[in-house]
Amino acid sequence: MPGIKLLTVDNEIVEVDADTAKQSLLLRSMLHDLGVTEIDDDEEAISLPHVTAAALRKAMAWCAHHKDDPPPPEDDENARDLQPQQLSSWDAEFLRMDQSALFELIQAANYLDIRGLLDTACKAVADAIRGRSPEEIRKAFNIRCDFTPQEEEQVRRETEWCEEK
Amino acid sequence: MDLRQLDPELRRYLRVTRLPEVYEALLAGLAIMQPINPCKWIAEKLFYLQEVGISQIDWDSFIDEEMKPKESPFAIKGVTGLFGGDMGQPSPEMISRAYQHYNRKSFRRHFDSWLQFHLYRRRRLVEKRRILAKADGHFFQTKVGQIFGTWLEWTRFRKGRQAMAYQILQRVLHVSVVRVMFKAWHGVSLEARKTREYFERLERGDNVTEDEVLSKSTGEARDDLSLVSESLRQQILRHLSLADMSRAACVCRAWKAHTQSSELLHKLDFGQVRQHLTPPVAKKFLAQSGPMLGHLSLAGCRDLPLEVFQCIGACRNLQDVNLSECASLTDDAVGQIVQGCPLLIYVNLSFTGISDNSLRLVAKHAENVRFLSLAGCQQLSDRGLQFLAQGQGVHKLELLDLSEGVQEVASHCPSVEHYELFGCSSLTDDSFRAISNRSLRVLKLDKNDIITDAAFGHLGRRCPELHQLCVADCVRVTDQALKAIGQLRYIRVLNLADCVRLSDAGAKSIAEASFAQSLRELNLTNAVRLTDHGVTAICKKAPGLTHLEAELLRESHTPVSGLSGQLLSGPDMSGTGMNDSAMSVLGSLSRMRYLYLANCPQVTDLGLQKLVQQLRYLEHLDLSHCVQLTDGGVRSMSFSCRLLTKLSLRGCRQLTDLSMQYVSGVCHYLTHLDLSECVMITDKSLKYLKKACKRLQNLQLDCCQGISKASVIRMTRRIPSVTHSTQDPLGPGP
Repeated sequence: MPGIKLLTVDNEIVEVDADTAKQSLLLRSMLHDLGVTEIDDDEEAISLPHVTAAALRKAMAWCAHHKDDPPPPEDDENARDLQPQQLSSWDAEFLRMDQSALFELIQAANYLDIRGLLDTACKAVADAIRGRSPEEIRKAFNIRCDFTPQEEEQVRRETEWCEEK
Repeated sequence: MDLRQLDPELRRYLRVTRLPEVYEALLAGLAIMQPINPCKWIAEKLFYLQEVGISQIDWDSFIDEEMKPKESPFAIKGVTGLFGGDMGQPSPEMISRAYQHYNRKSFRRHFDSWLQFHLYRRRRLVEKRRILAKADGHFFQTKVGQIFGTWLEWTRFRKGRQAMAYQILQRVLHVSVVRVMFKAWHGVSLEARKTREYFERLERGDNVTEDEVLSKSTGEARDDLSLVSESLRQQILRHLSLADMSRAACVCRAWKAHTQSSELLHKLDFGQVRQHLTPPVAKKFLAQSGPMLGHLSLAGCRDLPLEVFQCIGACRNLQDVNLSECASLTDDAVGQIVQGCPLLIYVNLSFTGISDNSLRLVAKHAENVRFLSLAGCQQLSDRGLQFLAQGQGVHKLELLDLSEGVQEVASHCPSVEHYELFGCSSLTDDSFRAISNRSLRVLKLDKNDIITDAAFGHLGRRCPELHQLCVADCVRVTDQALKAIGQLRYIRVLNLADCVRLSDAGAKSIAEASFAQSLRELNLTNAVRLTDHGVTAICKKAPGLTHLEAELLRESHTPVSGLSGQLLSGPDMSGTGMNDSAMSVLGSLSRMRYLYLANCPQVTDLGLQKLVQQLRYLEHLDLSHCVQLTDGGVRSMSFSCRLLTKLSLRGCRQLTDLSMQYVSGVCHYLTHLDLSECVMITDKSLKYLKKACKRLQNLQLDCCQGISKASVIRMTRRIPSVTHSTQDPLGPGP
């Protein structure tokens, strides 16, 4: 199978399978525009200015696993009434990484325009937020609380409706 | 006379015989001597001559000494002159002739010899050239030979080097491949060892206290969420419910700002937080969003007062409203909403108490509505639908979900693409004719025993764009119906569950239909006349099939091997006589994600072990009432299938708490677990589950006598849905 070379922002050349890479709409349109059908050895690597090598590898691994998945429903209208779908367990296992790597992956997926991965990764971040108390979220995301006590009290009063009684 | 003109023979004769000299001597003697008797004298002299010999004769030989004159009496050489005294002397002509002759001769000779010489030279030259050419050729050949030899040697050398390089490269490749494999294997085996050790500790009875660190801290104090771009952040936060969003707002100032961005206010879903929702909160949110609000869902919020719906009417740009199951919705409220929101496109009024009057208002005001759901609205009658059909606004309607009176609406809304007609048991073939239009894409109905194959004839002829067709539980449908829709090209989802008249001929029609290539999901459940052959035929012709539900394996096990490797969902094997060998064949469909094996009493631990070895991606597994299963089988199952989300072990009575320890130790992603009728399970299991399976949402514990009420109540705090009872399970225990 033909491979294409991608130059990441940290100056590393990553060779990826063309069929897998075509799940990225960016790469697909790039390959289409360049008219690349056969890849020569001396072909210049495509430069990806916003993607790190680690994130790219991770993204391609995701694409490889989901290569044969049925395409997502074309129109959101049919899916819109559905309950937010749970992450598949494979994806959850795949995305078990620290927060900064996860955000790197989200940015890579966004830049490369891989909708499925972007959606999945965003869900994973949302999962990390979902169902946790503010204190737990701060711990998970390394955030310092910068409210003054008065402000905090006010915010708490605004949002107390959602707390369990 | 001139003797020169004489015949040469004669002249020779005269010269040899010297006859002229004889005559001259006779004449000169006669003239000088003047004998008296000349004749006698001549005779004497001739005798004398005969004696002397003719060679001694001279002109004065016959003259006596005393009378010899000084010179011949004949002044001019007398007779000899007459006979050509100069007989030996050639004449000038002769000389010139002789010269010419000689000249010619010598010329010819010279020419001949020159010619000879010339020809010789020419021959030499040709010969020389030939030799030279030969030498050249020879030289060239020798040189080529030499070069070729050198080249050959060089090539051999190069080839040798290439082979060497190839070997080196191959070795490097092998080494790196082996290294990668080894690394992967190492990771897998490490994890496997960890799991095994965990299991072993369990079996030894060691107390396991495992604290899983859910999120490792990065050590950097940076807020990733605030660093990503606005649109990405919204994409993340969009997945959160309003309650989670409110909690997130308490985190810090930046997050508070994030959660209140106008884009997020575009969509409000109160359905997820309906337990906590109070009218004031809803009003506050609606007021905050105001004109920004585009999508609103109040699904399941049963007791909202009219003021809230009035607030909705103030959101002018609302496009999508879902009021499903809002029991307090009245016609007035609908009127407020449709009058206040002229841009509405999607309206879901399903399972509400609205009456025909609402439809009149909708038809009058909501000009842009394209999707309208009226499912389960008990109080609607045909009159309401008449309003709808005659209304000005609803001509753009594309999706209509309702229960009765279809025909009327269909005739006025020619571009409906999507029909959901669940529970429309009164539809007839004529209704089908009415709803068949060129742009129809989705058609769903069920429990209809009036429509016949003729309805499918309408579909096949008039709906070339049909993508999804669900006609579950329509008992009069036969194989002919499938033949009738065979020319449709785009059908991807076909649901024929409980269509009991279908047989192998119908399956053959599906396999030969134009849509066989694009078919993705097929449901043939409970088509009792269908045999394995029909299912195998479909599997062969439909390579894209990922979901198949059909009755299989009643008798033989062969069709399992005919299933395509793409299947994500195995055929429903529930209630069949699956044995262990069939299980191992099924286990080779390694991409399978869903598998149902309920009520297969012949399944043993060994069969389960064979089955799951390759099914690493399995997500749903139903092993209900597989009564032979023990803890060992659950152990191998959980060891392989780490990604399980739904697991049913209902009625597996031999399972103990150990099984739950295995499952909870590995399957962290479980969301649904059914342990009903597992009589040996105790509170300890719940403790394990609570600790490890944090995603659990649904837990069924019917007829579990070993579980106390108190621990169930503790579980309900964590898990949204728990059912529990302590009845005695029916039937004899093991």
